[in-house]
Amino acid sequence: MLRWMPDRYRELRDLVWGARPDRDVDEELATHVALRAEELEAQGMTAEEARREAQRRFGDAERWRRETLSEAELEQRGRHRTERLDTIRRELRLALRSLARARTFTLIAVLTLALGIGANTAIFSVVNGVLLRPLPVSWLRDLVVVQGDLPGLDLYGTPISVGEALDLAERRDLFQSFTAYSRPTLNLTGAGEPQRIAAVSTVGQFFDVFGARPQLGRLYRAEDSRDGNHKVVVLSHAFWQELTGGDPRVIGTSLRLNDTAFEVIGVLRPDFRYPRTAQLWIPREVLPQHLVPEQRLTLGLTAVARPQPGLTVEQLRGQLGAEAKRWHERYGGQAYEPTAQHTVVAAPFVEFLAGQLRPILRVLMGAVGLVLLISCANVASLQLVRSTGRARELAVRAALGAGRWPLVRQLFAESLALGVAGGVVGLGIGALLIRLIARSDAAQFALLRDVRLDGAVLAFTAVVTLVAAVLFGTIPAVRASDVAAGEVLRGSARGTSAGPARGRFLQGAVVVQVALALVLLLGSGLVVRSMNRLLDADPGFETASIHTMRVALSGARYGDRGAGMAFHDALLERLRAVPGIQMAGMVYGLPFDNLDNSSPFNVVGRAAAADEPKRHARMWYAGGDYFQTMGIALVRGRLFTDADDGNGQVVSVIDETLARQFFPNEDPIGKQIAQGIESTIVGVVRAVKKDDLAEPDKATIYYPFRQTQWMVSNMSVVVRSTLPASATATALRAAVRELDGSIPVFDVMPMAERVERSLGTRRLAMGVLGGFAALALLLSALGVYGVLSYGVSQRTRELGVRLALGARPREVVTMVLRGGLGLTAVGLAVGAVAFLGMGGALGALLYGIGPRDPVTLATGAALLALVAAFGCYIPARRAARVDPITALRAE
Amino acid sequence: MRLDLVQGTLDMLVLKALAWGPRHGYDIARWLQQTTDDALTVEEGSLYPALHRMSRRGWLKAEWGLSENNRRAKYYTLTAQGRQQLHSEAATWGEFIDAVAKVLHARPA
Repeated sequence: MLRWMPDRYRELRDLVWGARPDRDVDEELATHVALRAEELEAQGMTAEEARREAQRRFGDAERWRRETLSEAELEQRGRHRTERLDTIRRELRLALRSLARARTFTLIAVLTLALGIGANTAIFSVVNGVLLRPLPVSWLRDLVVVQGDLPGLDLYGTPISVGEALDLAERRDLFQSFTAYSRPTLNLTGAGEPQRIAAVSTVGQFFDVFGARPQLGRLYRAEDSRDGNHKVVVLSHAFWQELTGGDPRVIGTSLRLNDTAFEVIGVLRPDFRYPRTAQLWIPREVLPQHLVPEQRLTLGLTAVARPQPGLTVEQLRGQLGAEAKRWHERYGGQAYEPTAQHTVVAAPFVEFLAGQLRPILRVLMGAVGLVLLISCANVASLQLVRSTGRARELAVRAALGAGRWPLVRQLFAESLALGVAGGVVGLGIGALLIRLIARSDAAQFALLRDVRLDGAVLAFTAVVTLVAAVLFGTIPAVRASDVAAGEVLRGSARGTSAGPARGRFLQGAVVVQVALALVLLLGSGLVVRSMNRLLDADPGFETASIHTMRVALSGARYGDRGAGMAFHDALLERLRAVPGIQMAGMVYGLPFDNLDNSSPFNVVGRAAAADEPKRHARMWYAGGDYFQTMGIALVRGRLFTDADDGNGQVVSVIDETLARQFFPNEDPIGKQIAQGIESTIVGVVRAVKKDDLAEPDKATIYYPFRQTQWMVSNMSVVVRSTLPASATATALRAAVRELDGSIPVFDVMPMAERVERSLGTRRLAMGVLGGFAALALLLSALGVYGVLSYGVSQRTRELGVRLALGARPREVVTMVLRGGLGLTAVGLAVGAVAFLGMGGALGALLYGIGPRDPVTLATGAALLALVAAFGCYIPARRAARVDPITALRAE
Repeated sequence: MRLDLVQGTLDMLVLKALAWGPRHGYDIARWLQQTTDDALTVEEGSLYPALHRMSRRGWLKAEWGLSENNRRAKYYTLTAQGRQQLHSEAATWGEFIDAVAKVLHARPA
C-alpha cells in the first residue's frame, strides 16, 4: 500500500476554476500507462518496448477514455446539485436559527413588512380590479367610450342619441365594432311575483365589442335592433340561474317584459358581467320616429366602441369632431342649437369605468407606497441595530477566516427569510383586507364587489417582497461586514465599531420615517376632518323619520296620463291614512337616487348677463306634500297646491341657487322662465344636495307633477313616519300592492340610508388612510426606539464614565432624549415641507378644508412628536440606569 | 492460465482491493494481478469506467493526491456504503460458488 497526501493545490484549482472532468480523466489514464511503462522498464525493457507493452495492456484507450469520461461527467453534475442544495440549506438553517434567537426583532421586522406588503396587496388588487381588468376581454384597453360634449351648456361627457349611434355604427373605417346601450328597468310578469329587471337595451354590435360569448343558445346581431320585430332576449348567467335554476330548456321559452313577449335565445357565460348589475340584454327597438332630427339630442345611450387597429384616441377625436360637424350641416338648427357648441369625443373606456374612484385610488396608492417605504426603512434600521449587537460575533468569524462575502451571504439569507415570512404573512393580511373592502359600504360600486386577490396581484406582491428584502438586506449586510475585526476584538470595540457612516445612515432612516409618517398622518387628518365637515353639512332637507321608495308604472297599463295621475293620487291618499304616517309626497328627482335630469332654460324677456353662469338647471317634478315631507324650507312665495293642475297657469318653484345666480338683486316671484315650457315662478325653496354632500350648488327648477306634459312613470314616494323603518317599509309596499298587484316597488329605504350610501367611498378612503396613518405612527415610533436603543448601547461606556464622574441620571436622560427628539424635529420639518409641497394631491377628497390647513398640520406634528417621544423615553431611561462599574468592566 | 472476468465481478474485486486503504488506479490493477498470480486478465483501461461509476454511486471517494515519489495520482477510498456493498457482493458470490460447486459435484441419482 502506498503512502500519499491530498493534493491541496489541485483542490483549490478545481474550487476556483471548476473541476474539468476531461482533463482529470486524461491525466488519470495517462498516469496509469506511465506507471506501467516505468515498471516494465525497470524490469529490463527498453523505453520504447515498455511504452508499447503498457499501451497494449491498457487496451482500447479511446473506448475506456470515453466511458470513463461519461461516468465522470454524470458524477460531477450530481455532486454540484447536492453541493448547491447543501449550501442553501445550510445558510437557511443558520439564518432561521439566528432569527429564532432574536425573537422580538424577528417579530417586529416580520410584522412591519407584512403590514406594508399586505396593505399593498389589497390596494393593488383593488386598482387591478377596477382599473386594469374589470372585463374578461383581451382588448379592454383599446375600447373607447364615445360621448357628447356641449361646452355651451357646460355639459361634458353626455350620452348620445339613437340617431347619432346609428350614424357612428356605420363608420367601419373608424370602428371594428360599435355599440350604444341604455339601461332601462323592465317589469317582468307572468313568472311568479312581478319583478323589476335591470335590462340593457342595445343597438350595434354589443356582444362583439365586449367579446361576450354564449354559454347556451345564441346571441342576437346588430340587425336585430333595426326594426321592432325581433323581440328576443339574452340572459345573464346569474339571472338564468335565479329564474330557472339553470335549466337549459329555457332557450325558446318566452318572457313577458313590460307586457310584451320576448323569446329567450341565449344565456351568457358567467364571467361576462357588464354592465355589472344587468340581468338581461335586448335589441333596442329603433323606429322611424326615433330618427327624426328633433330627436338628435335626446341623449340616452352610452356608446362603447373598439376602434380600428392603429387608430389613436387623438386621431379618433379628430374624426369624431368632423363627423359632428357633418351632422350640424345636415340637421342644422332643428337638432343642434349652435350656442350649445355640440361635438362628439372619445375617451378610454377603462377611465370611464373607473369613474369617480380614480382620485381616491391614486391617493391610496400613494399612501400605500409611503407605508411600504417606511416599513423598509424601519426594517433596515432594525437590521442595522441588530447587526451591531452582533459585531463581536461577526468579528470573531471574520478573524477565523470567514471572508466578507460569506458574512454578507449569511446576512442576506436572514433578510431573505424575513422577507419571505413578511410576504407570506402580508399576503394573509392582504386577503383579509380585500374581504373587508368588498364588504364595506363602498361595495355599492359594482367594480369593488368583484375585486379579489388574483395571479397578477400575487406576482406584484412577490416582487415587492423581494425588492424590500434586497433593499433592507443588502445595505445593512454590506455595512455590517465593514466591521473591522481587529478593532472590535481589541476592545475599544463596542464604543467605536459603528463608525460615522453607519450612524448617519441610521439617522437618515429615522428622519425619512418621521417625514413619511407625518405626510401620511396629515393626509389622513385632512380626510378625516373633511368627513366630519361633510357629516355636519346641511343637505337642505331632513333625514330623520323620512322614508322613501320608488314606484314604476308600466307604459302599457298607465300610458294614459290620467290613469297615472289617478294612481299616484290614490297612493298618496292611502299612505296618509296609515296610522303613524304623517305626511306623504312624491317627486321625480329624489335626493341621492343618482338620477339626473337637467336642461337649458331662459329668463323670459331678458338676455343673459355677461357675468351670469350658464343658464342650465335641474328639472324636477313634485307632487303631494313633497317639500313639507322632506323639510325643504320655503324661502319666499308659496309652494304648489292642488290648484296647480292642468287647468291652471303653469307655475314653477326655483331653489335659492337659481335665485342667487340669476335674480341676484330682485324678487324672482312672478318672473317667467322657459325650460321647454314657460312657467311663472311662484316660490323659492332651500337648495338641496342632489347626489353628494360635497357637490357644488346647481340651479334647480321644480314643476308641479299635475302640470307635466307627459306621464312620468318613475316616481319616488316620500313619507314622514313615526313607525320603525321596517314597519314603514311594509306599509309602503302594502299600499302599492293593494292598488295594483302588478306594479313593482323597489329601492325602499330610509332617507338617511340613501345619504349614508353616498359616503361609502369617502368612508372607505378615510378608514384605509386612517389605518395607514396609525400604522405609520407605530412604525416610526418603533424606528426611533430602535435607533436610540442602538445609540445607547453604543455609548454604554461613555454614559458609565459620565455617571461615574457624577452626572445625574436626569441629565443622562435629557441628553439621550435631546438626541432622539432632535432627529424627530428634523423629520417633522422635512415632512411638513414635503406635505406643503404636494398639498394639491388630496384635492378631490377634501371638503370644507384647505389642503394646507394649519390646524391639521400643527395637530399632526404634535401627535407624531408625542409618539416619537415615547419611542425615545425607554432607551433614555435605560441609559440612566447604566451601572458605571459594569459598563467599564465590560470593556 | 488466463480466465476472462465474469461480468460484474470486477466491481467486487475493486472494492476488495480498496478494503485495506486508499489506492490509485494503477495500484489497484497491480494488486489484482499479484493477488491472482496473473490468472485474471482484463484490459487495464476497463478499470476506470468502473471506478468512476462506483464513485458516482457513492461507494468510493476520489481525491487527487501525491504519492511517495511525488507523482500526482487520483486516490480512491472505500466509503461506508462501499464497504457494505462489498460485504453483500461477497456473500452473493459465496452462495453462487457453493451452488455451482454442488452442481458440479453432484452424482447421478
